Amino acid sequence: MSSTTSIFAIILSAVLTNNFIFSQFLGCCPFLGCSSKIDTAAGMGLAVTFVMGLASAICWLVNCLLVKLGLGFLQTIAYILVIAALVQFIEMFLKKSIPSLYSALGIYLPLITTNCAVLGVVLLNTQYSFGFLQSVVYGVFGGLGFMLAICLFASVREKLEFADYPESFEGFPICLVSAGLLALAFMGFSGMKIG
Amino acid sequence: MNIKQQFKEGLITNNPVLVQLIGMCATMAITTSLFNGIGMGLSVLVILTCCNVVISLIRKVIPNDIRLAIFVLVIAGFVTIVDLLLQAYVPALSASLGVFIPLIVVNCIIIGRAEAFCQKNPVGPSFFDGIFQGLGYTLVLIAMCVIRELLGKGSFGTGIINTIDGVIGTGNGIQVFPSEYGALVLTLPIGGFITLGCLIALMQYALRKSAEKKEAKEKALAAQEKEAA
Amino acid sequence: MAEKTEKKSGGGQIIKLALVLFAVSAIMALALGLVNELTKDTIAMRAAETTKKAYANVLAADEYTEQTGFENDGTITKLSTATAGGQQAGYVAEATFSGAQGMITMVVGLDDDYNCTGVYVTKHSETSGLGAKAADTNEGAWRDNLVGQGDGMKLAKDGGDITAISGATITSRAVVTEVQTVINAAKSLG
Repeated sequence: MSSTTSIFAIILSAVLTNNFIFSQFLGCCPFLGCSSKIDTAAGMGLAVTFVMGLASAICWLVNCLLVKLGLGFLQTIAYILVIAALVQFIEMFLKKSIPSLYSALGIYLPLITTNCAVLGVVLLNTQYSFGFLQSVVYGVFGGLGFMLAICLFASVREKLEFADYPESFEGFPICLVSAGLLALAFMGFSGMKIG
Repeated sequence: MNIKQQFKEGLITNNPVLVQLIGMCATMAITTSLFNGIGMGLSVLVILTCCNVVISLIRKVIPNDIRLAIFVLVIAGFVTIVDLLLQAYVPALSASLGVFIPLIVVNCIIIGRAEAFCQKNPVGPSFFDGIFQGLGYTLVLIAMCVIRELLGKGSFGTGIINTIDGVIGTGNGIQVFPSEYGALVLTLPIGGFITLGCLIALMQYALRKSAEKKEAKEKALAAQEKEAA
Repeated sequence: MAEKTEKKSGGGQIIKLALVLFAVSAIMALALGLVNELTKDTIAMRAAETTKKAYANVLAADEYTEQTGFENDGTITKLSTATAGGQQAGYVAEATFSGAQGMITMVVGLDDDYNCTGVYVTKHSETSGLGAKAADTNEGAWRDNLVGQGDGMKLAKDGGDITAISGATITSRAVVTEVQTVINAAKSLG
């Protein structure tokens, strides 16, 4: 992908063909940690989508500034600070203005700072030299792809309770194996490509 | 807490990946060749040790309210330093790990150790904690790489062992069996999930067995004591 | 970070926090600036070395002269004519284009009749074991299939005679298309 990739191609890639979790391994920790129930998964997915979209927009501006000043090497440190501050602000804002949304998303917000999908998307935006609109679209739809993956996986996990697997696979191992099989299903999308 | 115990914890009983279940993104993503695995493992080891020492040094002056922000700053600083050094001196590694080097910033192992260990312990133990936890992480990466490479491509040590001209970093590895007989799926993303799942299962099995053994031993001891009484 | 707001603190407290945070940021930024200064030249040198090696690998020549004014769809970053022993030997181009996963940076060599003499991928993020095979430079690697291919080259699937990397048609097609783009560019130089 590059600065000339069309918006539709970015959407397709972010949600299906290059899904953040199943083909790029970004955001695996919350993916495995918050997927035991569908509603928790959906909440986490929403919060991540929100932060990813906003972070993409702000980090694009920050990167412009850094490039102009010739301080490209400060990129990682600047991005993580932006994300940390952003998460903090969103938390404060939601708490004050939209308490209903805060009570739904609040507990996931602090976890997002260390979600590598968020830092990953802003780093990739820079790597692909995306424009402003492309960055935001990639951020939002990357987040939606994350949400799709985590919701699908949560519904699989709910069924796992009735499955009969070796005792040693209890907990994380069986989740990882089922996530692997889901990743295999997502590989089926990899032939799709537009522009 | 002594060094021997820390060593055992880092490598086995409290292994960051297999027992604490943190830092998994990179573990699954980059373990496709031994070169990547060792490179990533050592980078994390160096960063973790530096961060542990610095955070432990300044633990008394950090205001509690903003400690996470400061941890993140320190970590991001060291990650960027290592990133720049790799780009300059080991460009092959930097090219093949790509975005996963800056992503070490959000690797939960580092912030997790800072939060759980360094802010409560002096410099010495923090230093060893960094080294042993880093070693534990590296060992898991190496195990993943060896399994995925061997079963997936039939080779061993790609990037490290060079049978053609001996230059490290570009080697072709040793071909154990022809690559067309390998299960290619193991080198793909799905292989990462499944290999790690099986490794953790193996670890759980081993820990359970050793716990059972210990229990049986204690029971036997208790019974003996009872008899003696 | 969640704790930052929860504590009810006076103005003095906030200033103190801000100062500590600022001090740590300043120290880290200073350290980074220093390391950046130390490594900048080496990094630039490494990049130049890689490109030089790639040039020699695809088309050995004594001198490469950069050209301008060729037909370009935005993917070719540099096109040079190569001279060996005082004679024009062909063209070498650097191109950055979109693969299956991310950008691929590649050096392409053409002989004087616009036939491909070799390709060398210098940077990519294709799937290991599939698309990444395009970057394999060992003997008998996929890239050897491109050597000798000329104008109108296509994958077997698209009606040509180049076999795609199995499981990585998109990467293979992207590489082949890019070589064709370079051929067009070289031809437009006349």
